[in-house]
Amino acid sequence: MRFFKKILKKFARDEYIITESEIEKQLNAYDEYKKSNIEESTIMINKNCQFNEITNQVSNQIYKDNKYRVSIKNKYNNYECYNDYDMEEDLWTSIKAS
Amino acid sequence: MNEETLIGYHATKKKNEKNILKNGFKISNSNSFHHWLGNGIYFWKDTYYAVEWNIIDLEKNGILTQKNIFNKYTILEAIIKTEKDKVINLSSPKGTIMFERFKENVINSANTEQKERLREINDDIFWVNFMSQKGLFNKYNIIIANYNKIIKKENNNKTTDFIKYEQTQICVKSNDLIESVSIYNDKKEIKELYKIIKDNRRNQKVKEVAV
Repeated sequence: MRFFKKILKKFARDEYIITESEIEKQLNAYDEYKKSNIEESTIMINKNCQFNEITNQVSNQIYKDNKYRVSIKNKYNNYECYNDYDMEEDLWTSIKAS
Repeated sequence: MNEETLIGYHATKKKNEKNILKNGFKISNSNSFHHWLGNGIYFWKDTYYAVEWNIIDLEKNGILTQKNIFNKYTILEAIIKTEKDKVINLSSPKGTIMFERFKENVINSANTEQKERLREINDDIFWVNFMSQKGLFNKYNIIIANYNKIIKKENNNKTTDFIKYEQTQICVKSNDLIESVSIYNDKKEIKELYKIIKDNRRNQKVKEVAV
């Protein structure tokens, strides 16, 4: 409790000063993280699907609210790898081609 | 007693087992979003997620078999002790208050363009990582956070049929807080979890959301 109280006091006294440049740095780092995460998700989709003997056919694609939904069904038609994420058009094309 | 004892499960490759048991865990030292609770040793509260972690890694490498779960990977059980005051659970009311105050503080300090970008972020990882970098967790030895993992059954779109799986992560800042580490050897449970998780991953759509 003592640390929690101290933290609240610091907030009350405006002791946690955050500058615009710190925010910018964090926002940019987050953008980078999101980009790398999309790549990881893509790899996961493909690898999982291959592992499950999936035909790799993109069976469904929905674009809504700046997000793509990727669905891939296996040969038994009972499994879908899917993910929702913001994605650039050219990246989406490369997934379709894979 | 003003002491808190936690049991955590760490999933890793078998080849790391001996070294961890002898020399302790390696502290992750990175400010990346992958270590979103900051630098430390990461544990799952439930064996389910430790087994799942190993399954995911085996899947990635295309070598997922029950045999490999035991031969190539391991789960280590750690008993972790510290003062109660030095544990913060970000999903508790206290943690939520800290989180909200921090978020408010950042938004108030941002310029117009940054405010716009911040508004689009609905990912707690951004905020928690920022809190960690600003030193809000410096006084704490253990940071805990819960995710809710939603598993939706195939062909079932009714929201009432969602099942919530609480996923608790524990970040321990130092090996000194770990009283003991042992190999988690309940093979019967691991086999059972392996079947359940494989089944879940094959037949259900899994979407992870931070709540």
